[in-house]
Amino acid sequence: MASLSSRALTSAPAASGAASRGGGGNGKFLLRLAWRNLSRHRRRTVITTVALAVSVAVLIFMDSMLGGIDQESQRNLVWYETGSGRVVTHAQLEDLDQVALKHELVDYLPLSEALSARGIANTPRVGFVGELFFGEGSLPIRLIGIDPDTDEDVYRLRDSLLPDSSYLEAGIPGLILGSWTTDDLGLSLGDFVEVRTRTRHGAMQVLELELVGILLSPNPTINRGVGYLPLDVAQYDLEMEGVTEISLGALPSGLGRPIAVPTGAFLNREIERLNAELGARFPNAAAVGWPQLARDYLALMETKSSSNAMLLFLILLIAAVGISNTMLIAVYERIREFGMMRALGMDDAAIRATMVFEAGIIGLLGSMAGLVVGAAATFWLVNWGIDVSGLYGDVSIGYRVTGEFRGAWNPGTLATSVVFGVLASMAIALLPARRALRLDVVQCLRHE
Amino acid sequence: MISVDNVTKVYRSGSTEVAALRGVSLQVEDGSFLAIAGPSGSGKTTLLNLIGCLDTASSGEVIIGGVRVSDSNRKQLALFRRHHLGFIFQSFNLIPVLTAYENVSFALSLLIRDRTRVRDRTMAILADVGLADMADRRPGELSGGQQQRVAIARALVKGPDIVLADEPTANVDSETGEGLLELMRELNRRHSTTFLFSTHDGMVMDYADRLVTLQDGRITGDETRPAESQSAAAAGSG
Repeated sequence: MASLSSRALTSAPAASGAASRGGGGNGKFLLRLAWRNLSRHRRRTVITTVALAVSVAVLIFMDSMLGGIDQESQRNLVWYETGSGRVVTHAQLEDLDQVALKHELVDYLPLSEALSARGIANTPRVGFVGELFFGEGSLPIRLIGIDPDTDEDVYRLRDSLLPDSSYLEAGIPGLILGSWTTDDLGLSLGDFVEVRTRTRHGAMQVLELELVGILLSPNPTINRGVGYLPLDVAQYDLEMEGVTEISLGALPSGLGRPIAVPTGAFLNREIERLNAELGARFPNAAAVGWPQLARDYLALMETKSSSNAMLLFLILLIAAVGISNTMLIAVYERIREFGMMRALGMDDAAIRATMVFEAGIIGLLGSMAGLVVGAAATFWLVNWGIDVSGLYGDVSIGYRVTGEFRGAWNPGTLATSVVFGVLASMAIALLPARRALRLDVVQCLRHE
Repeated sequence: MISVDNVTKVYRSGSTEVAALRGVSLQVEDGSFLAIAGPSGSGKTTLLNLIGCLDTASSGEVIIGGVRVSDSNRKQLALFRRHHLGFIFQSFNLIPVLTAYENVSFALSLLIRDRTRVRDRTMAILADVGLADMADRRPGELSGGQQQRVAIARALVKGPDIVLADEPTANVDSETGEGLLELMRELNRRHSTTFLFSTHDGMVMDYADRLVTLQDGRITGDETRPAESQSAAAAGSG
């Protein structure tokens, strides 16, 4: 008795012979069948494709928006709060969160010159805290003594001054405040305020300052609770010879143009190099990069980035559920057809392939449509931006962004969203197809 | 030659067992035009499924062309079906999004990759069933009888040794049904293909050259009929 694995029937079927093949059907045929299957329920196909397209478009747009906010936020942090980094005393380095006048850099002038000689823009500053009084009102305030001649080399306060404001002048006890602070206290240009603080040696001191400028910057943290006065005025009133820090501007890259917002390995390498060079001449000084000065901000951004990733994941999950539902229905209503195909000797793998191709085509169409819409929305966001000032007003939500912000292109997300859209759709189709193919042929043929 | 030897098929559902076939034995000569008749639940479709390698017997042997198929695995059975068997289903089971040509050529393309051969043979078989000029139509654009003709073409396109037809005339009117039977009879004679029907349609029984009757999973009648009586029966029903 012959077995099936050796020879089948004695009379060979008319169509078999030299060109016998594996029963998977022609790949082109499977693709054509998958494509045609999409037309069985056009509305369902369109709805699923549109759902995926919307998800991919939202994903691309959201990613661009969040990337843009992150980028702009980081830039505003560096341009308005931290600079690229700072040079402080070793003692201050131990506790960067608590700026203390006692940790002053006395020999800051030669240090500043040394930095300038290396091509690093820098400016000395004195940071301290006090209580601001005006009329009946008062509020705690962080004050920064700045050098009006060099501060612009590192920071962009002057660009943020409102009309009619003046910039600080050395030797003149003027004050610049954020507009949110002046609004809170009802202050106008020309008003005199009183600041109570303690000197370098701990004695009480009262500074009387004239409000010469009001600023409204893209960084909300300096729009409220921060004031600026001339460095020499601050040094005199605080009984200081030195400064609490030297802020660093753009770092020279060696490629002709300095890097305004240095990050990552480049920043670490430059700070390390700077420390090595400064160490010999200024043993009391140490350079530190901006990420160390903004640890709270970065921790907050990391948390937000996790929740953003979750949000983006949810967007894709909704699309996946839509495709899964469509494929589940498609498989369920074709079980009998699968039975016929299997009865004719078609491989399970080929039947599975038609389902996977079908889902893949939906994935490709949806992802491509989503890519086009998402890219168009991103183009608009990158070039024109969104004004969220109406949404948040004068409330800071952690980002160093206020008013208008722009998107950022992320080619990785564009590519990933399309690849993910196609692959995830194909993977999603596998489960219902596998379940259907677990039934035997007779069960499939009897399926109603 | 098909040999069914003392075959039993038991379906289990939980603790309940239902014997669909009880010790059925049957020999079918090559080129037969055989009808398996019986009331619903008599086991005719089960017997057809076993011979069609769609199912396996609980006990006994099914041997087709000298090959024991009753103890083969799923993959081996699929391979056997692909090469040697053709199927015609009661509800046609055509793929609605494919044309008549594609529905037929799909079955053949599982076996051969030469496109010209596939095209020529598909068109030839469509011509045989009288649908050459409707090759581009989809099933939805064809009548029930035309759809079943496409299904017959699909079953025959690869030149199978055996065609199994489960109630092939159940979903068409009697005139169309008779036309289909004439067609299958002619193809049976022309290609010497063995046809096995399960049916309770008297007209199908009239056309058969052998009528096997099943009742409660057992063969209760096996009548071989001379060619003249079939012609007379066919003429009478016509």
